[in-house]
Amino acid sequence: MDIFRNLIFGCGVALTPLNLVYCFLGVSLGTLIGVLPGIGPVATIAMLLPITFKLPPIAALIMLAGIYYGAQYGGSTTSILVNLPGEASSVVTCLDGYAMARQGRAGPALGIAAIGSFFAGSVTTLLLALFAPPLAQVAFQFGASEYFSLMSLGLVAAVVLAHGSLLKAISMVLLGLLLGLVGMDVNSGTSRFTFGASELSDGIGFVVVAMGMFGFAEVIRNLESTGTREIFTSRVHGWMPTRADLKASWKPILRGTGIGSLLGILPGGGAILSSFASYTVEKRLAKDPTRFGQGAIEGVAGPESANNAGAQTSFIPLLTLGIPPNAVMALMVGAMTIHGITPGPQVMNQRPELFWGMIASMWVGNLLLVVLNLPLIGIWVRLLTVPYRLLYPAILLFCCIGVYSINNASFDVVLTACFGILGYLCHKLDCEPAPLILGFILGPMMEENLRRAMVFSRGDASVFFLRPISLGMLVAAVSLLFLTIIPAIGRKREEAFKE
Amino acid sequence: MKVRRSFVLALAVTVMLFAAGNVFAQSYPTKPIRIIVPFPAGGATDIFTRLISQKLTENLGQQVLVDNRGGASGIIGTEILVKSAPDGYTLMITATHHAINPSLYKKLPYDTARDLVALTLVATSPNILLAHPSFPANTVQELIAMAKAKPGQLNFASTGIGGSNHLSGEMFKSMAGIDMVHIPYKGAAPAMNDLLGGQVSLMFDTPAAGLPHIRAGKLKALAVTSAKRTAIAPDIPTIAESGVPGYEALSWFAMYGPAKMPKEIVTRINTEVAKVLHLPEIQKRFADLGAEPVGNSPEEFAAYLKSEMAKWAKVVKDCGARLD
Amino acid sequence: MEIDVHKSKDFFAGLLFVFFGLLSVWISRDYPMGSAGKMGPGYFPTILGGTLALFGFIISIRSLWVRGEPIRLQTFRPLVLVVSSVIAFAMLVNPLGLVLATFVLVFLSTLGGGPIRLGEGTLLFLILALISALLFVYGLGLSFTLWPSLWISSET
Repeated sequence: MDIFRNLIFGCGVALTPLNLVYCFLGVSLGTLIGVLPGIGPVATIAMLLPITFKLPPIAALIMLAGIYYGAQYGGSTTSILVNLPGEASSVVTCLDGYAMARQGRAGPALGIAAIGSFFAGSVTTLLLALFAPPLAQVAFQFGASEYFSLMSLGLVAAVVLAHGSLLKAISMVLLGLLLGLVGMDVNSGTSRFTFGASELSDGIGFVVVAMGMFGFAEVIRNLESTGTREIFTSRVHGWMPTRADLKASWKPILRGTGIGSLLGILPGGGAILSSFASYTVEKRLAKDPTRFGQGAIEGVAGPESANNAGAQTSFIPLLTLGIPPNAVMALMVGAMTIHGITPGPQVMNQRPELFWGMIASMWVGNLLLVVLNLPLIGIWVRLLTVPYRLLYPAILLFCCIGVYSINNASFDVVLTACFGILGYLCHKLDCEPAPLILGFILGPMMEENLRRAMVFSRGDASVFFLRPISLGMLVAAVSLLFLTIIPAIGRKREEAFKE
Repeated sequence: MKVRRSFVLALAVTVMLFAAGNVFAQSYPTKPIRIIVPFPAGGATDIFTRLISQKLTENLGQQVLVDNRGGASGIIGTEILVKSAPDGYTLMITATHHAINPSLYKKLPYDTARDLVALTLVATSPNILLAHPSFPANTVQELIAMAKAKPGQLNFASTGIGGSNHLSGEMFKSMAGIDMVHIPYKGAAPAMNDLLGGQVSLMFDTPAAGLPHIRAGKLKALAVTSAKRTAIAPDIPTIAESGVPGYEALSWFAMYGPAKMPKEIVTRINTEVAKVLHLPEIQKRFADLGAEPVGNSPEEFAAYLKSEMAKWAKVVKDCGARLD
Repeated sequence: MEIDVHKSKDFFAGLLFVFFGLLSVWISRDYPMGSAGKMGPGYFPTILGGTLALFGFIISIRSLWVRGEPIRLQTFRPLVLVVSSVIAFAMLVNPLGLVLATFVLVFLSTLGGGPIRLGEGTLLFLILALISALLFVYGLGLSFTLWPSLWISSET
């Protein structure tokens, strides 16, 4: 079969000693920066661009790609260990992963994350090889109305994510939406909520909000309640997932891979949604949804697979069309251009060694990551046994350095502190940060697409219902909303009756 | 006697300073140079800057680093440049935005005329008017006829309000006397994606972005925005020859420094950059990306900058675009 | 020092939402609204802010009936320490360099005794400063000045 011949050809390219070395370098570096809060693959790849000049193009691209998905692995490590999401897609892992860590189960959490990610990576590599061009065409079916409906579905999923009061969850989503609107409005050029600060004209950075509300708030919360009890129990329950864990996780991993592969193809935000979508699906499908948020391993297995799948399939628009779906891919386009490769539909034909070599190296990279990360779990778990009073200044310091390094702006660090205060308030008032973050991410995209769809249709709102994909997603969103609200109302009435 | 002596002394000091200035310029650079690019890494400006800085590092024997400071259509990076010491070790390369921003924004944190010195025009690049293959018109004439028959039905995408592809479109609209609806996107990728998917009909984009799709048959080119046909795609007619005489809209990239840079350093930088821009390897790489390296003198570029600022100011005023 | 605020968490949560909602609506009054068919920049924020304020109002009102949980306020010290140490770092990292800013951060965040002792704290600071310098500045090449700049320098 042609595909297998191509894959073997690609493996031949990926497994040359030079490319292997650079693959390893890339994934190691990616893991490192994924672990370090704040510093992300965008900054690192930008810094390394000059160095890649001296490398042959394929080695350079393999390394840069390794950094990208290596960072996904590393990001989930900090989410689980210290409730710090390194990337937007790792936020969901904080919910149950960190809870597991606090119960002494950081090892299994990290292990399942690695295994799930590896599985997802392998499957999507195959998908890429087989279906890259047709999958790219799927993305074309998504216009502004479809994106808007997808985001609406995502927002309903945000409400489902929460496990407290429904009203408060919706309010947090709304607050997140509003925070996401800070900055210059793409459709009109007006700067909103910026108070004249040009640092805000591109909006509040995700890292700022996440570090503040998840990281700093968590540190404050832990310091308040310490007393003599340690934050992480020193009774570590093993380093690896148990058989029961694996049994519970394999279906979420499969579902997560599917969800992530589909969503990752959509340029502009598809991959971010994958982990949130997977979490929602798992929560809905679970026999006992109340376990979610308290350390349910499905809440780690599914989203981790989803976000790795999404990260890999986001290469599809890049490799088949030359369109970068996110900031990291845009850098890859730059790197390709600098090396004299014109990204575009013809890369597959004109530079097959590049196309197939990269696909094969993605699988190699995933393998290297698992090999690299599984032994590291022991080290991470031991790190958690360091007394918290020594750990938290380190967490604070690394967060500050990481946030500062994004734009070399003290402003960002101060803003993060403000979000720390907000996170603290929310914790005191029993409001969950996860729906806010999801609203924050989705808000601007939703509004942008809503307005754009209305401009396209010249003010005709029926366009959202007349286009099939859009209609389908809106129906799903409404159904999901009802499925969530009705039992909740039922429960409230039961409680009222009991009193 | 005393007067004469102090006169000689003054003369000597002046000569020494002049020589020192030259020696200073000759010994420049003595430490790494930083070129600010006020856009994220990977974009067109960034790529051109990296290609040049690599060669400059070789020629000057000092590291020439690229510092990406994106944000606010280039304003944040420009602000940083303006606040830097005018010693020739902090420079900036930016795109057409710089000439357009003064008319778009009510208030800028710097004075474009006074706070920067124009060093050289690095390169110019036309835009290509791209359309989805299913779009009914194949030439600009047909497009204009279509637009006049059904006003307000056509859309054109851009990578952001106030960018050169937005304003190229606005200029086209006003000069051709037609009406098209502008659809802004956050950056080139989503815009290109909608164009390829047929969601939006037209877009002005760079040759580097458009040509691969044209060659693959996924898009078609209606015209280029330069005054004369470009070397990399000589069979694409210009807008000017397709029914809108006098139309010219170029994207260009230029190098600036903070105001009050010593004249000798300005000249030295200008000479070095021009030297790099005339290297055959650089000429080829730029041509592959659809750009034409220039490397003219600071005075020539300053004049060009002034004319561009005036031209775009008129377009902005006519279409009422505004950013704050 | 424990305070049990007898109004429940929900009451204040609702207030918080009302505050943000009304703030958004108020700020957005300057942005053009446009129409439903052609929304201006003010449309979305106004509607969102209004809805948020409404929800907040409902939450607060409900809390007056339904007996909710009281807020537990033990001490503000961790909040103040963490926030002030972070802000101090932000303000000092440019003028004073990374090492001194780290010192201030470690010092402030572990202030007032608490669980950490002076010797431990100093050792922690030294280790952290060393790791940061090696990893971030030399290793990753991030642009931090390590030591105070003794003269007016340009942006780093």
